[in-house]
Amino acid sequence: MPHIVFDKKINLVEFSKKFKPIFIKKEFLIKISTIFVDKDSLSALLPTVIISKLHQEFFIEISTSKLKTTIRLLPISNPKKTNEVKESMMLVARQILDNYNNFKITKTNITQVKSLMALQ
Amino acid sequence: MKTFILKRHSSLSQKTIFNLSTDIENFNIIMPNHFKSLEIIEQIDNQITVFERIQFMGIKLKIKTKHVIIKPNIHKVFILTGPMKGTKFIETYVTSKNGSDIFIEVNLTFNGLMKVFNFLENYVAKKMSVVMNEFISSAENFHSKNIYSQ
Repeated sequence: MPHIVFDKKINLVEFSKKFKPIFIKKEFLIKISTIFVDKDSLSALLPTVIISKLHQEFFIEISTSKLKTTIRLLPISNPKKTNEVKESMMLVARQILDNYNNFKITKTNITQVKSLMALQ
Repeated sequence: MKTFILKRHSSLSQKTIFNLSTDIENFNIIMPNHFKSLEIIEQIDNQITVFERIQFMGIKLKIKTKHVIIKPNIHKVFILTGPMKGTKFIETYVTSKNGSDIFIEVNLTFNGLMKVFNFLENYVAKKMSVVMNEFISSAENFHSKNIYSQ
């Protein structure tokens, strides 16, 4: 399961206010319009639409705890893990890094994100 | 639990849209993007128990449902298993000017893996509203192909 782990707890309510809707149209389309934060502010869901060879709808989940923040796919939505799906996760990671420059990615199994890590 | 009512108008007659909505065996032909298959496992009078493979918000679910059809105009659907167990839909079909009005009272319940959607109730309601639009247009297209006759 693709994931991206950061080294700190994120304030999800604050991040949701800073979040900028994502709309990428290349040879494929990625749309992430909004973010929903749960009432205890420990997880957030981002409904995501990708249109490439496949039309996929799924949720990216951000969960946070005292020591880390994780981006992953909400297991129940279970899309095919295409490059576009991984890129959508990377775009969310990028927004976290853009808004919190003291955050570092500590772990990921997404190749595209490893290039982001190299820049840290 | 979230409760809300969806209301739509169709150019089809009340009888036609009601028949399309309650044609359980063929419903996946009308709504193939959301209903992958429907298998009737028991039918007693106006109560039909169905094993359904559905897709909603990108989530694939296998559920057992009970459909209660009260002719001429009420269709009740109860989800009996899975992470939406306890959810029910009460559909009422009413003749109106130029066709029919459809009211769906939705009572949403999320369990297990879908508990996470409790804080997304409004989003889910919005997505259901979109599905209802799709149903109306699919039913009207389906009917216009003369597969069904009034």
